[in-house]
Amino acid sequence: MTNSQTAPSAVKILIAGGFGVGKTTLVGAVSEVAPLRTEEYLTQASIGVDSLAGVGEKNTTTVALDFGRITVSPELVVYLFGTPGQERFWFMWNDLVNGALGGVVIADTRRLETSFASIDFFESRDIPFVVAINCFHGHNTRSTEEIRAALDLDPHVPLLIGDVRQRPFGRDVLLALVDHLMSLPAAVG
Amino acid sequence: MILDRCRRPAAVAEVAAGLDLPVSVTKILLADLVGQGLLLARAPLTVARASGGADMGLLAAVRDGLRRL
Repeated sequence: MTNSQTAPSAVKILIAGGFGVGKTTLVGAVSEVAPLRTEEYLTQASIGVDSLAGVGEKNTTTVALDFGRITVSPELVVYLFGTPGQERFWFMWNDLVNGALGGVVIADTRRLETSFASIDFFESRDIPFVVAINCFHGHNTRSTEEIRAALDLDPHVPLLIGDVRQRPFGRDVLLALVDHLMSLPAAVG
Repeated sequence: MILDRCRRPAAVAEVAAGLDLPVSVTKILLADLVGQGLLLARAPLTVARASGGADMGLLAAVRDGLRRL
């Protein structure tokens, strides 16, 4: 049995970006445990093509969620959630963003467009985020200004360029997010 | 098995990964245990900007922890 008074606080940070940009890699680089994977079933009734059957057939797909953990202190644990890359699974994010501190959008300069939707997602929900340009393929021919313009990024959103496989870069990205959060004026409610 | 994993506070996702079950199935199992008074569930911290954002003390603690990585 746990006691809510002694239980550590847990904060969530979301790691987003297009398919294959390095979300799980970043989680793995900074997590104290190997990224854990959990799956969720998506069940969708589809209309049977055989009209004689008259019943929809059930199609089940799974969507994976990778996450990691950083125990900051006995009182505080940070969870990192790598969000599903496929756009059609984004409704799952609504559960995830509940209580999330902020987000990291990972982008690859060779296909920045795959991360547009992640940026829109955070912006539309007023969730603070930073952008990490992943250069593990070694190609980055674009300047920070070009990338900002291409992503149509607000000037106040931090942008970092580095290799998400490297723990120091992952740490810097998360620190940039926390600094960004601390610099934001508190919403007057 | 679930109770064993929850001796220490754990995220639902962690329990699900440990049991190798989908999150939705895990939630149902957890809800049953909460209903029987065997588990305590806690809502996520309220850190949404709409409700004033995370408090500075919490952010400072996270920052200090990350710096030690």
